[in-house]
Amino acid sequence: MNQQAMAMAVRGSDVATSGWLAFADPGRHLAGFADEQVHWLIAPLSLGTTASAVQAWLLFERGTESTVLRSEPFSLLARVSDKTAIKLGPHAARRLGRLATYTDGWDFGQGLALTRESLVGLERLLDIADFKDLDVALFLSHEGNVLLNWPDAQGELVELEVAARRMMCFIAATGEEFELPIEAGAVSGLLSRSR
Amino acid sequence: MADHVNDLVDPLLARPLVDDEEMVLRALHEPFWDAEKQRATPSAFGNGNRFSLSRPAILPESAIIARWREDLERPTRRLEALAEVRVGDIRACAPPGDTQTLSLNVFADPDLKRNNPAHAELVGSDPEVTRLRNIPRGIGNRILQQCRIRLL
Repeated sequence: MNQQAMAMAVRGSDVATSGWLAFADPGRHLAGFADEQVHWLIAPLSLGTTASAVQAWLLFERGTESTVLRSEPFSLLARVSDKTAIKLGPHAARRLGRLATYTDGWDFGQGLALTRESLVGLERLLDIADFKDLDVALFLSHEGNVLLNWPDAQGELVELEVAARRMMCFIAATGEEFELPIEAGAVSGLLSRSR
Repeated sequence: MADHVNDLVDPLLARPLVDDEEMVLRALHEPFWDAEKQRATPSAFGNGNRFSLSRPAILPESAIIARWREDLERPTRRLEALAEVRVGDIRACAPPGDTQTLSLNVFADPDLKRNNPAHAELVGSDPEVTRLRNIPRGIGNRILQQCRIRLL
């Protein structure tokens, strides 16, 4: 048994305990799925047959497909999820895990699945930002980016859409919308405006 | 000449308009709605140029919600909220005055494939309603503030 795969699988089960877990196995094909989804080995939640799973994962809900970062090593999601729990709390970490289960077309045909680039950006943001005392909630954009929003000191919303190296910022109090690099100075300046 | 002019209009903007007095509904599912925090994102109505709506004037609200549940719900996902707003109130969220660069319109868009005659779309366009245009998050936030959010 690949121990890393096993550990991540258990983490995945936190997201949808009634689902199935499926793991990439480049040697296996599964009939009935679109080309980009065929290389999957489905395993029930007991995790008894996931020894070869190493490259990617998806959550299955019976009768429907639900892809999570189809080609992404699941260690990225797990790592960002851990950092989210530390910086934003367990509820936000659970939300991130659940948002990662949405497939392309999740909003009545529109809306992309959560992108690897946004996860990379979120990790970078969490590494440098101090969200202490901010009531941050997570959402998913049509572009597949993580959205973070919170009420500022006056109760007006601040929202960030996180891409790999930059974030789009919206400040409801002033109506401003602008882009910032995910860098310590820029992030710290933005957060200090909303306290 | 008339044909040539028509060619310049995006077909998505040539559909029948929904009357200003009609109410429309937007499903606030998990990516747009945090049930624990009871908070939505302005991106439910902004940061894009097309947003899916439903018209209770065409189908009873209970039937609309039943279709949403069919489309969106899974054993581990439950649709927990909707946003209700008058079409005229959405349109009034467009930037005012002569400098207006954005028009907001709601078009009837019966989805026959999904057997949903009540489907409609909020679409952002130029003021002449010929080209699609992004609805900024700030406008999305204004629309959200006009909505009555109801828990399901």
